[in-house]
Amino acid sequence: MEDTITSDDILGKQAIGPNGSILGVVVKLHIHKQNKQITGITIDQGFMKPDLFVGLEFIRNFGVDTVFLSRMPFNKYIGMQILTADGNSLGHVRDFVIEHKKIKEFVISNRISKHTKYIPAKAVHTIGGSIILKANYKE
Amino acid sequence: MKNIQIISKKSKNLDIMRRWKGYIGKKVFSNSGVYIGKVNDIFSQNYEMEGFLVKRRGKLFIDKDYVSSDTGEAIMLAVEPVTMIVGKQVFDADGRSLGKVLALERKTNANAFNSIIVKRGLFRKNLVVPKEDIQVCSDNIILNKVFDKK
Repeated sequence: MEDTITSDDILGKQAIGPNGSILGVVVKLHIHKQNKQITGITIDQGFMKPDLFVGLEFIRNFGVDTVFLSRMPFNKYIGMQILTADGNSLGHVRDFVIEHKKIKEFVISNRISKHTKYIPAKAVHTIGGSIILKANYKE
Repeated sequence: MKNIQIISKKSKNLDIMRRWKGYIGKKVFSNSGVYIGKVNDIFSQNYEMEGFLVKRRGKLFIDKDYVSSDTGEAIMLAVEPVTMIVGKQVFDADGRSLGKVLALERKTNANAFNSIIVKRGLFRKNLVVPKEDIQVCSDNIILNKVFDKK
């Protein structure tokens, strides 16, 4: 029984990404009707933000006060600013293209020009507070 | 540069020079893209720029040695300023919320720290966590060990 936890140990806990970012509060547990396995959790991201479903395969472990995720949900990148290595802003992430369960391209748009651009994921140097492109990236 | 009259003993091409005024108001980002603030002032010694003052919540002096690029719209740093750690939440390896970073223990002004002081809340003693016990130091702090609930 020591290895067993209940829904009380999961619901209401903060969901933490691998970089320590707080994604929200776990509000639902999803259980498969036939095989009775937990398939994932739903995270309440806060006021005016949509709920986020995270599959069980992206949950690293259930902690005492938190649920640790093994990977940042891709949706969190939407709205992030994209900067070149020089600090020039190219716009904000509007969407992304997934291939083989990884992000292949970021779809960005500039709020002023409204043009859409595709940035390959391999041009990305770091993703943190913003997405910073490699120094050798050329528009 | 048009309409600028030059008084100088040497031949000067103002077009290839950088104006310090251009730094004022520029946004500053850390090496992971975290917005730190805007340049409020420039510090110089012997007519050489030594660093700049960034204003956001409080003021931060950043040495020019920590700048990776200043030619674009913003100034990009080569580091994550350690002062940004203050205020972040701290979780242990078991996911236990320990509190928030109250302060850093630093020996010098370099971008490094020896330990963090975690404020645990009312009626609880602050916790001193050495740097070696920190696994993740990004949006918040995750330790690599478990702390007993006290």
